[in-house]
Amino acid sequence: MTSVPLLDVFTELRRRDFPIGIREYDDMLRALDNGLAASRAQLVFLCQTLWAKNKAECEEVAEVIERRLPVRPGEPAVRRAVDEAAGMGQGILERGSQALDRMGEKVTRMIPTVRRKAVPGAAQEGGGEPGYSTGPIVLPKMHYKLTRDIDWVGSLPITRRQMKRAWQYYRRMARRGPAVEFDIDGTLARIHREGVLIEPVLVPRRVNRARLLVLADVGGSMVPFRAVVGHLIASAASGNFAATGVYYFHDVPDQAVFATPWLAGPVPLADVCARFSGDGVMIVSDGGAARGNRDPVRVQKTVAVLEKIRAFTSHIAWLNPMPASRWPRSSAEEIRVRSRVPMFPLERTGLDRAVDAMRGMARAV
Amino acid sequence: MPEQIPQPTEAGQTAGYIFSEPLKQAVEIACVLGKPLLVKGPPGCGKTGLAQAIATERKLPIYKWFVKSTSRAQDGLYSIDVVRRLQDAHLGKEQAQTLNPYLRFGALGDAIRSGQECVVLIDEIDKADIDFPNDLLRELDEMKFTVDEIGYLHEYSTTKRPIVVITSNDEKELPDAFLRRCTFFYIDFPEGENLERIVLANLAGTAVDRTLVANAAKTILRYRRVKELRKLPATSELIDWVRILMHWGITADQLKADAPLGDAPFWKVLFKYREDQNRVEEASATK
Repeated sequence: MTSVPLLDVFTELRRRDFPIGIREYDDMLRALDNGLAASRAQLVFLCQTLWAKNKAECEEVAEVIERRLPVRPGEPAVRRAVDEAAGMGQGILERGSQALDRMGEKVTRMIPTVRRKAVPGAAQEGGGEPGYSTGPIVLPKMHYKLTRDIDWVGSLPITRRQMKRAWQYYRRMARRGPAVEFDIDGTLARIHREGVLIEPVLVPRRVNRARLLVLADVGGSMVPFRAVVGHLIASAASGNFAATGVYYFHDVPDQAVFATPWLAGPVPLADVCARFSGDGVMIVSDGGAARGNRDPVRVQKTVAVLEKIRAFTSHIAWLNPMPASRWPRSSAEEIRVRSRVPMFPLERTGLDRAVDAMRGMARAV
Repeated sequence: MPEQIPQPTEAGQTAGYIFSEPLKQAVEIACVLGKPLLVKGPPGCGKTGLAQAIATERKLPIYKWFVKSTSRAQDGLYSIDVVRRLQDAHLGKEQAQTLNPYLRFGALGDAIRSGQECVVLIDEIDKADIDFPNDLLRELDEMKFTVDEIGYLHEYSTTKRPIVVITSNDEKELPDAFLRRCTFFYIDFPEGENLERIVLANLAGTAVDRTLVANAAKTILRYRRVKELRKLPATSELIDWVRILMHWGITADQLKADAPLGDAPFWKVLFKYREDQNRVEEASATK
């Protein structure tokens, strides 16, 4: 146990790639000194204000504090944090006893959540402590419905912020639209030609003309990766591209791909490719690496489809959510070698390099 | 250097702005630490209005900088009208010999030059290029900037730093180095009574029927529960809606809080997409 307030929370958030450093930690101390946290809720809020930078991160901060600094009766967390900030760390003995308290607290907190079923005869033990009955234990009923996906942020090999950042490098700049930018060279040339400056020469602004087609494998072996692929697609959709198309398939993109992740709304693959001809195509699939076996039919079909796509564009990248160590001896490896489509693991550097590949900057893999 | 005192942006109408408790605290934290406050939230929840509200409440001048996709960081500090100068030089004008007549200060530049406690709004910072926020690090940190062309340093001279409010629609991820310099607040859709208070505050001065507002506020919560909407109706849509209702003389009786969603008068004002309107109609029909 440390005598520095919230250090556990701070280090854990740093591990989770929060953009915070010593200065931000110091800010928290200064805020505590200034009495900006008078209750536990305010302490949580303070940390959110200082350390989180979007709504999801706010929830993460709250969750980490909840875990690292559990509520304990008789010892308000804020008090402790403020005391420690003022250099009044409690004595070691006291701390030791608190640690014991905490353990006891944990145990008692867990018990009431397990409800005993009323067993005739056994239940009436003078209304004693719950949890000491010999009767069968019934798990509490879930009173809430899971209304959204479980948030895996913090446990993924790549965070949402890293995804968004990687996409920002997917750009093909070209001058398009109304002429609004001042062209110095052009203006000078005109002055030279005409002898006097009549009006400045304007050129269109440089805008991102990059267009992106994502073909994502769903179902089967891709089920465990639903969350991470979902984040990937959401972050791509919020990128500032000239156009983004997302289509889904199962195992191998065939004659048709689908507009929805539940494989409804078929669209001919050739049509989709024609629309994104010359643009970046990202394929997200484990390519059989999750199962780990070699499936010659799948390899054959996939290579043929990639060949077809290559007729429209050469900027293809394959993102594989399985770690690269699991590719050898699987269909994925064979697809990679035979199709010569660059394949990258779905992690930070992998995505960066996939984006490079789609910009036409592929390196040998 | 001619030292004309920069004029703060006209203090607009003091539109009613309701500070929730957490928001008050976030502003306080930003002030105490002297860090910019980064505000995010769904469109129409009052991000931009916040800066004006702080200025009004604390009786401070406000400098507003509305960022565009073409904005460069330097524009907020100063810009030089080179084309005018070139033109003037061609016409043989005397003033083209010096740079000063062509120097224009931006909102942040003016705020730093003013040297008095003030509020600075940098609106929709995510509209600009990726590097934009990074180019402002020093200026926001130290509250000083140099006019490079003439090497003149402007410095913020008071001990109290300006309150900088930065809004973002989350269109682009901001760089880490910038993020860590900001405190953060997410303005969510207001709950319960706050929603009514915000609407009433915005319609102050008009003869507004409180029951109508209460019913409208309750109804909008039901609209927001309709599944799979592309854009949830937010506070600004609600205010527009109540305005429309008042304009057409709808009474509280005609807008029952529990009426079918598809039957409420002028409800389509709340939605910006045809699909969303269809969804509401479907949801209303199935109930």
